[in-house]
Amino acid sequence: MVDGDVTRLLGAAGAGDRAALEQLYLQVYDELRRLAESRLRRERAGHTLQPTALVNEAYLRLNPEASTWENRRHFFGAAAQAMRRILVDHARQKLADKRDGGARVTLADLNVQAPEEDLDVLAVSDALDVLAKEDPRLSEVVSLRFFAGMSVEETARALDVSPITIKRDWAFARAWLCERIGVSGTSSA
Amino acid sequence: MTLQTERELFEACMDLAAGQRTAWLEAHCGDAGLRERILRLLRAHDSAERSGSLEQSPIVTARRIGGFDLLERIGEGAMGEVWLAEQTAPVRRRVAVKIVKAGTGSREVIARFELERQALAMMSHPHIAHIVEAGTTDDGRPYFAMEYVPGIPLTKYCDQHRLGIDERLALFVLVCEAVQHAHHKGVIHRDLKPGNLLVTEIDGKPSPKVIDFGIAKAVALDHQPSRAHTMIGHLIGTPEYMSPEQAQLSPLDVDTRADVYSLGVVLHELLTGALPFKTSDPNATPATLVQELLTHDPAAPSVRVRVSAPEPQQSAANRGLTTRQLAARLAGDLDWIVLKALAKDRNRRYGSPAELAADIRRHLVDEPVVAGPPSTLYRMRKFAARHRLPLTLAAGVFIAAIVFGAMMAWQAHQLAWQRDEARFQAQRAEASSEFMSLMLEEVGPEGRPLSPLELVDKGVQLLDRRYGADPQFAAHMLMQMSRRYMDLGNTEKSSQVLARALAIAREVDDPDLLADVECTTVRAALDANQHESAKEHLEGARAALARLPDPPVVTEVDCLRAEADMAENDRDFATAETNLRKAQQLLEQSQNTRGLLYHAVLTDLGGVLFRTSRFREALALNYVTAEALDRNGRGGTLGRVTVATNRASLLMRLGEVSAAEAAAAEAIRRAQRLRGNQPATPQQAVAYGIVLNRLDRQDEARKLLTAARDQARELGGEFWVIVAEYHLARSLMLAGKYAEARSMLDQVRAAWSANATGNRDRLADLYRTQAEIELLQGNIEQARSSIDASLAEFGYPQAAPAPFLSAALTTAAQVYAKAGQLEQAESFALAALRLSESIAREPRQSADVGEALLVVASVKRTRGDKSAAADYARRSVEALSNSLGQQHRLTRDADELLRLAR
Repeated sequence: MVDGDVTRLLGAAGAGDRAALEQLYLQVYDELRRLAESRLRRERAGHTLQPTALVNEAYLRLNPEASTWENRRHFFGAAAQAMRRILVDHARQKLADKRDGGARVTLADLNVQAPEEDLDVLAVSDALDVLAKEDPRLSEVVSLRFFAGMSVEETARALDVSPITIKRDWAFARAWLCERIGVSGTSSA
Repeated sequence: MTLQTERELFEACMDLAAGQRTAWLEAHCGDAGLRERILRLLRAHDSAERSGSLEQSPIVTARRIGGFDLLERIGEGAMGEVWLAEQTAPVRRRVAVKIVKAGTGSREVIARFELERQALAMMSHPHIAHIVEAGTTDDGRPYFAMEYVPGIPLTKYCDQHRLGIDERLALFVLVCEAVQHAHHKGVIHRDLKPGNLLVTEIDGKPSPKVIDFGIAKAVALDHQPSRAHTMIGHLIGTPEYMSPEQAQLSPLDVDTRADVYSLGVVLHELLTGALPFKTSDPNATPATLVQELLTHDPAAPSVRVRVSAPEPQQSAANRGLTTRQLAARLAGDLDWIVLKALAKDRNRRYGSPAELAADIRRHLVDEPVVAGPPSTLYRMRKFAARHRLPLTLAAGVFIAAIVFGAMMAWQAHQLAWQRDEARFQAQRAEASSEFMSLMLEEVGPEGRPLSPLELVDKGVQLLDRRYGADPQFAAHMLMQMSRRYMDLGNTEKSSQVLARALAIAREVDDPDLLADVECTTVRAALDANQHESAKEHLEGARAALARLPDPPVVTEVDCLRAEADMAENDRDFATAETNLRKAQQLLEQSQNTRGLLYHAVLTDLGGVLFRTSRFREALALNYVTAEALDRNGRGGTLGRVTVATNRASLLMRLGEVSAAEAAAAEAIRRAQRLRGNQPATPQQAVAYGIVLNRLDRQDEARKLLTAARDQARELGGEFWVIVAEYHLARSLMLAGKYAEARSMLDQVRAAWSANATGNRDRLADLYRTQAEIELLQGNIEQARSSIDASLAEFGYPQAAPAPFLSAALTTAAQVYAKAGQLEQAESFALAALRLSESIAREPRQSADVGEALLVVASVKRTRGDKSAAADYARRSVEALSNSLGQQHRLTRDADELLRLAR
């Protein structure tokens, strides 16, 4: 993965090139996946992934020219989406595993645990899809905060708004999601 | 209604109080449905705020930790989970993996967990579920995998198999031994109960295992001390088995005797089928239970089984007896033992599980139990039972009474020592293990193994940072650090650290601590060739010791060792030996022979025997030391490696060179098993190098000794650098590189001359080497003056034999023969022969004897006495080929001589 590549894609995406945006997303996704797998392969300790750490590491590795907020936003947006996809895929895989009772190594063999027991990543993801139809920006805030694990400040920087705006967005979006999910785990869809 | 509208309404009400929200909405929103929706959103918001929903992004964990595939969660505690897991390589087996839960508690809790884990990894006992692997996950959660024990609780097992009282006691004793082992390592279980004492069957015989040396401690330390009735939610451990002090005190004050209490409860259950405190009331809250625990005295087991046990007949039947028989069996000894273990005042309990086990054993062999009454009648009954005496034998009874008096007094004294010693050691051990684990937690940049020196350096830093407020502890730890530095041969750092410890000890003015530190400093100073300093510190130690009316054994022993070190340095070997034997005796009398101190004393003693050339005795002691270490489960320690290395040196001194080589190689193997791929320590490498030189494998020796020297230099161990260089010089000599050898010898000589008294033997041997070089280069005059200097340094002929003296005499014979002084030469040669024969275990196996014989033969032949020469030559061939091998240069020389002399 060549540095210039991502920068170029970012620039193009910033200029509105949809194809470039998709390509960017794919590359970021690839990188994240590779990082996650290599982390998990490391022998010694129990393997855990913190999405924040991964995203940041991917950012460093891809090293895009992120001077404009547009570029940053696209990058982190793509990363958050990618992370979300990884997490959701594996939550699905885990459900499937429970049914076949299979046991494998690598990314396919993950438990996705949200810290509070009652939250289901899949439910959040589904609910987020619905929210995105009504208000894409809110959905992006949630994506960055929850799936990419970014802080209020980081999210504010990425979207080039003030932290207070993000806080307000977050308060509402969170309430909306929790209400929808019913805060008892399963998706109400 | 759009999202936007919802949002506006939501945000307007967000910061209002609940009651006000409804009012506001009714005023500003006409649509009931919409109002309802907003209220729901607000409720969701409140709840999310409270529980922090969605604040943390999801964490992805693998179902694989370390080398294990997690199968299913089999347990969950307040702080962690237990998983059943499978290990796939190197063997396929089931283990239990205990992990601290993600997002749990403070760093402190995790640090304490680490401490437990560290201590647990040091335990190795057939009746403790052992640790298979331990580590930390990527996000810092500690875990450990331990043997999975598919057994059933002790009490259940005994009932199911209808085990009788004796059999139950036997199993219980095994459990006590296991817990005792853990106490020795500084780990208190804190949650002993039948559920943690699982019994499996091995070859049809029951074998108990203690499991779940848990995170109870880790959790407990995180809580504030509080009164029992407010601790309901925080009760750690199972109330029925908890000791009174656990229910009350700050967990920091709880010691090993809490475990004794819990064991007492288990014993009560094993014997009677009931718990000591009534728990039949299902409505009893933990608080009620604790109240009873603190105030009521339990009934004696023999009474309990008759009167108030839940199902008296069933209980008796489970033990193969009737109710009456059971009561009779439990009456007396077993009552007293159980009640003593359950004493509310922990000072009245058994001081350790070992004491409890010991009393049970006494009961089983009809000896008086400590828990019993002090009456003479009781003792005599026991005596009679043991020896099957009829009690009517008047004279016998009278004598028995006298014997008892003496025995009981002695026994009480022993127990007093044991209790204090055990507690002291336990405290020490606990503090050390905590420190060690904290140290390991602090260090370790990812992936790179720390060098030993770095590790110790970190430790010292850590001490300063963390334990500044607890000077006594810091001082003890600093001494530990200094010993580690000494292990690495770094006398300079060792001294620095000790100086700090000494400063602390003086500030605190604790004579016991002071004596300890001064004694340790004596040895360090001697190692660094600082004789004056050592003397001063010895004075300091004596002064401190004098201030203690009843010094702990350990301190006295430390001082005796320091005295011995000093005496040895002054070449007063007799005093050194006396002191060490006294130290040995003190430790044996106080039953402190399982610790490292005892083995250190034995090793020191071995050293003195070595230096007075009593190699046979030293070798015998070496075997004893090794065996004791192995027996006490220390077969895999560094100390054991030292013993193995010393054995090689001893065999060398006995002239059994091939055996020495095997021993040196074994010592290195042991070290590698201990330390993985790290190279052998300088000490070992040098020992091996010496042997290789003797076997004429000087190229191998040279490589080894050069590496040893460089390594010693890196570790900062000046002492070993010099010793390595000395033997390196000998290798060079054997390889014919005389100039290099000479210059190296000059350097070594300068270094050793700084402490000429202490290094006398070494200097004497150095002069011998110089004489050899001169001889090889044909400089007879210089050779003679060197060898004369060597013998003078040895104090020959007046002084007692020293190591290497026979070698010097052999060389002297060669030199004088070359100089044409044949009579002198012969007398030296015969002296060498006599000396080496007196030293050797088996003269025909000794290379020293062989070499001496060779020189005698050679001189005899030069003087024309062919038959004597032949005789000596033949004996020489035998000894040399046995000890150095057929192909060795000297063996072939002897062969040649034999041929010529015929």
